Amino acid sequence: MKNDKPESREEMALDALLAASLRQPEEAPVTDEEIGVFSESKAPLSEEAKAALKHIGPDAVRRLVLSQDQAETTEMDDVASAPLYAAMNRKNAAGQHNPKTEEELENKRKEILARLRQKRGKDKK
Amino acid sequence: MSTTIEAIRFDEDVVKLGLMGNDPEREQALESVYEHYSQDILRFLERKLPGLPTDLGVNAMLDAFKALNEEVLAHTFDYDKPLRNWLIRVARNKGVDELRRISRRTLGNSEFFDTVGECLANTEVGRQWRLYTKTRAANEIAQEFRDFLLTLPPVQRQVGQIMADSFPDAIPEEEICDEIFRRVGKRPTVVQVKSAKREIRKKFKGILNK
Repeated sequence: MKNDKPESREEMALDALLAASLRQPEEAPVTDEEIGVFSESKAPLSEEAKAALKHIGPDAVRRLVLSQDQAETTEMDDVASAPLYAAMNRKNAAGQHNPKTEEELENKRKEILARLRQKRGKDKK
Repeated sequence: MSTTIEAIRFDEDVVKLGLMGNDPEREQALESVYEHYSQDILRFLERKLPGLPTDLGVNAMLDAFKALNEEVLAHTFDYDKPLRNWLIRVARNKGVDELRRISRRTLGNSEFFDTVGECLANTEVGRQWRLYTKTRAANEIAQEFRDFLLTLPPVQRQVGQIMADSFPDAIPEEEICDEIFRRVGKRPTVVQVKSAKREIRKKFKGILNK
């Protein structure tokens, strides 16, 4: 490095590590193990974050989802009103999916229900 | 508020069934997930990205819920995945995007880490760090430093983030003040910036020498 004074080089090395400590978590993908370690840490939420959550309110997600749903309905209405789209998709009425997707979802639903029954069975014992 | 057993005992499987249900069921399920996980997601973002301004962290967290709703509606969500981990990953990625958007970085990723290596070479700090990497303590030290940054007031916290973003350049305190104002809308004094820089370096040195 350009700076040859030993004290300056040590300080530069310290700044390098400091910068790397902040930049490194951006690079590595988040692993389940890392999330597990984080969960055990129980680090508190900062006061500003608590205030921000309070500010947006407990219904923040409901508002977000409703606006997304409305946007999607409007978009679908626009697309579906086009004659060519209607001619091409007569089998897919609004809100319905192709049979394969429906079947996969149904299987997943059954799988989850079975898992829940099993859990409840264990709880009762 | 609902007082059913399901509402009291949060279960990801119950919520997943809700997500697969009709519109009101999906909305209720999302609300339940939000109530249960929003703080966890924000805590994760704060610990990993302490220089991300809080409002942007909240946006990243909400974006993750938006992405979940989109995937559920498009039937592309993989119900085998744990919801919380999925949300945390998406929020972290959104948070990193936000942080990069607001930062004016001197170096790109590969150059940055090469320069870090060059700065550490033939120094006592570098020698110490190599020892820590061998014992896997390096990640814990980095986390301890990020946790320390979180204890600073938000404006001073930005000093650390700006030092990291501008590395290896040492930008003048006045410019740091301007940059903080640009990022969080509050302008610290030069004295506050100097004091924060001093404290940040002192603390990091202390953590390294433990």
